[in-house]
Amino acid sequence: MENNPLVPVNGEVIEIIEESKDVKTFRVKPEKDINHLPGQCAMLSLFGVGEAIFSISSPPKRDYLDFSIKKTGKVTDILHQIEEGQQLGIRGPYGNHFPFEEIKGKDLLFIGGGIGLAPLRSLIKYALDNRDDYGNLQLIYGSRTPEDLIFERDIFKNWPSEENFEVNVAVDVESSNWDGYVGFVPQYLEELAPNPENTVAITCGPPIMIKFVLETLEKLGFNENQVVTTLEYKMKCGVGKCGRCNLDEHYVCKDGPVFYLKELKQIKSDFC
Amino acid sequence: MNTVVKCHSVPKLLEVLKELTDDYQIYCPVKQDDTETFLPLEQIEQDELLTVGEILSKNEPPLYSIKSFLFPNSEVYLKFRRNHDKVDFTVHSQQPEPTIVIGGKPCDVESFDMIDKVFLQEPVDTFYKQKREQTIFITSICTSKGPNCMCEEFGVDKSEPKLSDILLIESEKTEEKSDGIYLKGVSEKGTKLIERLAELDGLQKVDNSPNLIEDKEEIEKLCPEAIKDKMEKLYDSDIWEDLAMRCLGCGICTYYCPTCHCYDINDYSRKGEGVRYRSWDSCMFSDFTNMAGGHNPRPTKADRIKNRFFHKLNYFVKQQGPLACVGCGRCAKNCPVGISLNTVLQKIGGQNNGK
Ligand SMILES: Cc1cc2nc3c(=O)[nH]c(=O)nc-3n(C[C@H](O)[C@H](O)[C@H](O)COP(=O)(O)OP(=O)(O)OC[C@H]3O[C@@H](n4cnc5c(N)ncnc54)[C@H](O)[C@@H]3O)c2cc1C
Ligand code: SF4
Ligand code: SF4
Ligand code: FES
Repeated sequence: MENNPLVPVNGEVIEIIEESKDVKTFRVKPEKDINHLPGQCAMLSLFGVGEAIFSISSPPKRDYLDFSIKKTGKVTDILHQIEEGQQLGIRGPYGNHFPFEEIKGKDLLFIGGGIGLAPLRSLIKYALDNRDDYGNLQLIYGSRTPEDLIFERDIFKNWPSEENFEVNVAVDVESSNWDGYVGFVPQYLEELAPNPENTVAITCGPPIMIKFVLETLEKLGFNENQVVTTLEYKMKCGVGKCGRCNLDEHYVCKDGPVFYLKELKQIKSDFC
Repeated sequence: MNTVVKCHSVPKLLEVLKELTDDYQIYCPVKQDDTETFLPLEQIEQDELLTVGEILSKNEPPLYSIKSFLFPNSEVYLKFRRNHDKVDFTVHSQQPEPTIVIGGKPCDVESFDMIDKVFLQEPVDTFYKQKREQTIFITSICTSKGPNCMCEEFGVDKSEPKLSDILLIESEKTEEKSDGIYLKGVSEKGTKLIERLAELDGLQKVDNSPNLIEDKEEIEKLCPEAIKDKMEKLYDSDIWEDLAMRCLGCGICTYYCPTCHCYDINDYSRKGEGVRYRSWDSCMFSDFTNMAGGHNPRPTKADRIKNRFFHKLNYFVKQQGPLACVGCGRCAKNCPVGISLNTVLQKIGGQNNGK
């Protein structure tokens, strides 16, 4: 039979990394190459439980795919119980991708909240793989508490030690084991006030954070062609047919999840 | 030249078609317990055959649209079994059997144009495509307009729908005589079947089918572009709140609609064995877009009604060209609180918006 887009291929979980109390990164080796681009997603399935879509948090050209997954429900609860060596179904890659070609030569400002750092990580790592193509890098990242921060070795060790890579980490509320910035990401962004010149801002996080980050970026002088975000919608098919994820006439699974602010401004429906 | 065969009555035709049940699954609309449903021909009792004829000659589509023959309301597509640490899965989709479906109306077959645009676009939904290729639709032609019908306004040619395989045309009954029913091949697979029918006893090849629709009124067709533009102005209107006050969120409008194609995917498993299936879903349900963390982009009934009508009358036009409605009138007939596509069309200027 011809390939049906709903039929997964087998993948094996080769490594599981605990990121925080409710986030784990699953390193998966698919049976067939998935060949994704930064910002794309894939549908993972546990047969008998169901499917859910996740951003691929590793960059292209590795022989594995990373999925950094927060425990929130049916599929993710069971995913969090599995062990290395277990088999998963995987289909994708889905969606468009970050405009990594168009933004060559620019400084990149990454703004992430919570699990929203997962999709950004694929582009951050891609930019580091192709360091000469991009200018300065800056990450502003926040989570609710220090225990909720993910990719600790990246945000505290690997990335700050890279040349021309500024990493700013925040948490929402005071905590005894935190002496960094306390406050919401949009607020931190406003205080840091990065210069918009020759810069592209790429953001992902909870809907409410995205909403305020977009506003703040405009206040700081970023124009609608300098801001890119990835959106999250409930998804089932991932290929523009089940009708679930429409945002006006666009399907987030197919025409997104990555949108320029310019495109979002033409969308009438609420996305945050 | 289209091949045409003639038979003297519907019950006779069904009688003859029974000879094909070794090669085809044959489905007809039938009235049972006062409601209309589609059943395999061999399950239809002799005394029910008359009701098939009644349904076919109505100038109104049957209760259910024929989309479920290509896109079933629930469809298993994977099977899996736990084998120690591994799970083996297989695609559960036997090559669908050749099928004949009698009794869709012109609006129904034309609705496949909309679903094709979604399901046959890359990446192709092969489960749908295979059934599409294996199924022959015999469309019963309407002689006049039913109470809720608006097919012509939506550009459906009710005497010669483009997507049908075979047309079933009933000659006008007068008091003295009923001249019979005619089957006319349209598509290639339809014409092949007609050639075969011509060899069966009880059916005879004739030169032509009667031309029924004489009093062709000039009906002003809705212009998708114009409707799309008028909808833009309705985005912030109160109409959605007003409709939401009445709407029950029951989803009936979407289940009966021949052009709706939303679906859900779920697994069922027991004792290490199970299936994955897809089933119809409805954008009118409150959890349709509900997300982890409690965020819902369409939290109110008004949001959901608005999305449904915008999809049909604006978004689909932008993406695919036509309106996502064939004017079958099922939403008008079946919504328990009387909300239908006409409700919105009237709001944006009734049917006088040709250009
Ligand atoms: C493009 C995209 C990328 C994503 N990337 C990641 C990622 O990198 N890491 C990660 O942890 N999560 C990610 N998600 C979210 C993830 O898909 C959902 O949280 C997941 O579906 C939960 O599955 P579940 O079966 O465990 O939850 P369920 O038991 O199905 O649901 C729990 C709750 O979440 C809702 N829900 C179902 N599907 C989604 C969905 N797709 N998005 C949001 N809520 C949903 C349900 O309605 C319910 O309210 C992404 C979602 C999208 C659309
Ligand atoms: S059939 Fe009527 S009441 Fe039910 S969801 Fe549709 S519009 Fe609402
Ligand atoms: S919207 Fe109503 S009239 Fe139009 S195709 Fe669907 S059920 Fe028929
Ligand atoms: S997930 Fe099915 S249309 Fe987007």
